[in-house]
Amino acid sequence: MIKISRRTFLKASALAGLASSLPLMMNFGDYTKAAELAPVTRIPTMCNGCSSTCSKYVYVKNGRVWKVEGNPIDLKSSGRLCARGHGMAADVYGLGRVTQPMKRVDDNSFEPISWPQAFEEIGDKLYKIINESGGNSVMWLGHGGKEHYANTFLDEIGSSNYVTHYATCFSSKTNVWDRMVGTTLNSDFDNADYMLFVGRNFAGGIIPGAMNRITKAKERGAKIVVVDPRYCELAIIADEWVPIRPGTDLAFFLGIAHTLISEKLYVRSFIANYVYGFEEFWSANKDFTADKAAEITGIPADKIREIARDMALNAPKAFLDSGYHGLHAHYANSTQIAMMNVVVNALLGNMFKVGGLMPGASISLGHVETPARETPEKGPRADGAGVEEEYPTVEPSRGIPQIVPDLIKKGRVKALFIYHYNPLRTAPDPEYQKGLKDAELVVSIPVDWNETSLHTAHYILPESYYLERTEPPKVVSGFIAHDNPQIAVRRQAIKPVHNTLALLDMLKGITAAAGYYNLYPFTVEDEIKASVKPLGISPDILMETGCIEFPANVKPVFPTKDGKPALNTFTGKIEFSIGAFKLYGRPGVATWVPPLVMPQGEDEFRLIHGKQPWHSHNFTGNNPYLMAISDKYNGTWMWINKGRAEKLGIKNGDLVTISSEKAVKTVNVKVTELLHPDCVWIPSPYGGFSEKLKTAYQQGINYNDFIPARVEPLSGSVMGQEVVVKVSKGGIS
Amino acid sequence: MEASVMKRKEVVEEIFLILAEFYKYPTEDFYNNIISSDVDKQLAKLFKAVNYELDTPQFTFWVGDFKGLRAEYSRSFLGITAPFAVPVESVYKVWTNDTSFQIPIANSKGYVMGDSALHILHLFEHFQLQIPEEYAQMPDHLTILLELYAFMIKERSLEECKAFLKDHFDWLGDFEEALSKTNEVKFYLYVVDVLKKVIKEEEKYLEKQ
Repeated sequence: MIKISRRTFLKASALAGLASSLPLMMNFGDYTKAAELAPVTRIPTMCNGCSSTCSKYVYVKNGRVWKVEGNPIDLKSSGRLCARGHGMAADVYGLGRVTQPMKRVDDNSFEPISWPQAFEEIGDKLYKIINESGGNSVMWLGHGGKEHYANTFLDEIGSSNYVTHYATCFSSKTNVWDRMVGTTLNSDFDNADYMLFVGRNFAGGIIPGAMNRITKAKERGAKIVVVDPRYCELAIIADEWVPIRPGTDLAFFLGIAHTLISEKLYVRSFIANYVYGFEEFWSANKDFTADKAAEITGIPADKIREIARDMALNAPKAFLDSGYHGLHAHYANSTQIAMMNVVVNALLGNMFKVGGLMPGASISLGHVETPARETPEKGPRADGAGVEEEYPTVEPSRGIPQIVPDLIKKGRVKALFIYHYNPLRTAPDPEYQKGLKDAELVVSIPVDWNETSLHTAHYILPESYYLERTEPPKVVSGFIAHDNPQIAVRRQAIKPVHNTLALLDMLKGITAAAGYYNLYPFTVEDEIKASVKPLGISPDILMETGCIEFPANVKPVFPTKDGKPALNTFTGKIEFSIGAFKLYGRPGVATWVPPLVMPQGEDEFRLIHGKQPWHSHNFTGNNPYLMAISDKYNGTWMWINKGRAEKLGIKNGDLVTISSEKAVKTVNVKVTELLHPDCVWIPSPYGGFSEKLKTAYQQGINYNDFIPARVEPLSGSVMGQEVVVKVSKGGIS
Repeated sequence: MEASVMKRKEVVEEIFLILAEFYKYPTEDFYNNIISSDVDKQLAKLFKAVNYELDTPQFTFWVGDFKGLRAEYSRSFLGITAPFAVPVESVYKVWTNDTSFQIPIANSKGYVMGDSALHILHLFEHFQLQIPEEYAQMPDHLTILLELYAFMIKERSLEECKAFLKDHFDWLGDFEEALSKTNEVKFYLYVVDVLKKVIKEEEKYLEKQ
C-alpha cells in the first residue's frame, strides 16, 4: 500500500448533538424551499461604500445579506442609500477579495499563509528594523480612520509617521480652515436662500442626506448656482450653471470679494467684530476687480458682480459651500482658494448664522483607559510635514503620502504598513508609486486585491469586510449643518466569508510578535462600552439602533469668551492673514497665484477629473453592478468640448489618444457642449490594473497616470489638475 | 459480501480524499508523491479495486516542479492574475433561488456563499461535522465537497450519496471551462478531467444499486 500524504479537514463536531433548525434534507431542491421560510433579522451597521459611512440596516436571512437600506435617523443617509450603498454590500461575496494572509514569494506570486505565520514573520522583521534603524523608520500609510489603533503602535515604537491620503483629496481645506477659523463650518442647506457651489458636486461625490436637503431647499425656493468647468450632476438641479476656466477659481473668488468690498456689500459689523487681517487682505487685493477676474476666469464681469450682489442680498442666508476634493488638493493655488472661501463667507457675515455656515453638532465619546506605557521620543516626520526645513506649514496629522517612494529611497522609511489605501491607483504616477515595494517590509491591509497590494506588498493581511466586523462608535459629522449630535456604530452583520480579521486583532498579533506585549489590552466591545459611558446610554441601545441622535447643542452664535471672540485661532477671530505662512516667507493673505500650467496649443487641454454618483473613485470599480451603470452611461469615457473636438476632427464615441510627459493612453470620448473648452474631464473611478480585480481591470483610464508626484508647499497637496495633456484622434498605433 | 461492500467504501473514500488533496495548497510531501508516480500508481490500483473503467492517471506527466505547482495553484485558484477559476460550487451557480432576496447579486452567478454553500452547511450540521475555520463560510469548496463525499460513502446510505453527487458535482464542466481560460494551467485541467471521470464512474456504480 502506497502511503499518500494528504490532509483531512473534516472532523467530528465538538458541538455534536445540537438540534438543527430543519430536518435533514439531502435533496438540494427540498432544502432551498425549506430555507426560504427562515426568518429575516435586521442588524444596524455602517456602510463603507465611501468614506461618508452612512448608517444602514442590513437584513440577514440564513446568515446571508438579504437586503440593505438606509437608517432614517442618520444625518448622512437620511434613510436612503446611494447606488454604492446597495452595490457594495454584495461585494462581500465577490471574487476580488483576498481570502487569507498572503506572502509574496517572487515578483508576481503569493503563497497563502496562516495568521500565526504572518504575525511571526512580520513581527520578526519589524523587530529587526526597529532595532537597527529605530522606530521612526516605520510608517503607517492609510486612507485615514482608526488612527487610535495605528497611533498606539507608532507611539510605542517612537514613530511620528502617520500619513493619510488627504493630500490627494482636501488637505488645503483643512490646513486653511484650521488656521483661519480654528474649525470647519458646514453649509446650512435647510435654511439658506442662496447657495453657491464652486468645484463642489454633492450629486457626484454623493451624500444622500446632503442631496436630500439641497433638493428640498430648491423646492422651497432657494437659489442654487453652480460654478464648474463641467455641467456636473449638481448643475442639473441648479438655477444656473456658470462654466469657469479650470484652474482659475481663485480669481473668481477674488472678483467676488472685490465686488463685496468695493461696493460696500459686505457685513462691516461682522468684519469689525470677528475678523483679523481685513485691511491687509484688502490692501493686497484692491486692484483685483471683477473685470480682472473676468479676464482670467472667462466668466463675464457682470456675472461675477451679479453673483456677489445676490449673495449679499441674501446674506446671511447665503453661502459659498466650503468645498472638498476638486479645488482643495489639485491646483498650485489650492491653499489660496481655501483661504478665499473663508474670506468670501466672512464678508457675507454668514458664519455661525442660520442659513449660512454652521458648526456641525458634536459630542465627546469616552475611550478605554489603558495603563500608561513608557514611550520613546519621536523623530522628525519622514515626509517633512510640519518640519521647519521642509514643509513647515503642512499639517503633520495628514502628511504627504505621494512622496513615500522617495522617502524609502532616501532610507527614511524601512517598514511600511499600508492600511485601507491604494496609492498605486489613487495617488499620482503609479509607476513611481511602485517604488513602495523597495522598503524592507511592506504590509498591505486591504479587503481586495488592489493594485498596491498586488504590486508592492510583501505581506497582504486581509481585513474583514465592513459587514463582517464590529467597530467602535463614531460621531456623525461633516459637510451638513445640523444641530443635533449623532453617534453611529458599525456592527458585524454576518460571519466572515473568508479567513480575515479585524484591524485590532491584526495589530494585537503583529505587535505581540514584535515584542510589544499587551499593547491593546481591550476588545472592541470594551471600546464601545467606554465610548458611550459619558453619554449616559447603554452600549446595548446603540447596538440595537445603530445610530443615536442627541439633543441639539449648536446655537447660531459666534463663539465668545468674556465678550471677546473665542475661536481656536491666535486672535480668537477669523484670521484673513495666516501668521504661519508669513513666518515662512509667504504672504499671509490670499492673493492671486496663477496656475502652474496653462494649455496653449490647439491640441492641448488641462486634464481635470471628478467623481460619478455611483462610484467612490477607484474603490468601487470592481463591483459588477456599479460598473454596469458605467456601461449604460458610457461612464468610462473622457469628456471633451464639442468645439475643440471638431477642430481636431474628433466625433462622439471616437477613440482618442491622450498623452502627458508621464503617460500615453487611449480612451473613448464624449463630445459635449457641457464642458469648458480648455479642459478634458476624466471620471476618477477607472484605469484599474490589478488583474485580480476582474471587473475593474483595464476599464477606462485614470488621471493619476498623467501626473507626476509633486507637493504644493503650503498644504502638501498633489496639484493633480496641474497637467496639460495633448489629445489626438485615434488610438495608439 | 458485506466485507467487500465495506472494502469498496474504504477504497472510494481513499480515492476522494486523494482527489481532495489536489485542491488544497500544495505541500512538498504531496508533490513528492505526485512526481514519484505514487499518486498515479495508487489511484490506478484503487480504480481497479472498485472497477472504475479508467486508465492509469498521468499526474506525473503533467506536473512541473514544486515551485511551479504552487504558482499554478495560486494562479488558477487564488488568482493574482486574471482570469482564474475558483473551485467553489456557488460561483458557478445562481447565487440563490430564494426570490425574496433583494440584494443585486441574488439572481447572478460568480459569488461565494450561494444556496449550495448553505446546503452543505446544513449537511455538516446534521452529520455533526465541523470544517476548518478558513472554509467555514466557503463550505462548497471542491476540497470540502470531495472530503464530504468520502465521509458519506462510508457513513451514509448510497441513496444519499447519489443525491449528493447529483446536486453538488454538476458544475464541474463550467469549472473546467473557466479553468481552460486561465494561463498555463495544464496540470489542474488534467486534475479536473480525472475528477470528472471518477464522478462519472461513481455515478454509474450508484445507478446500478
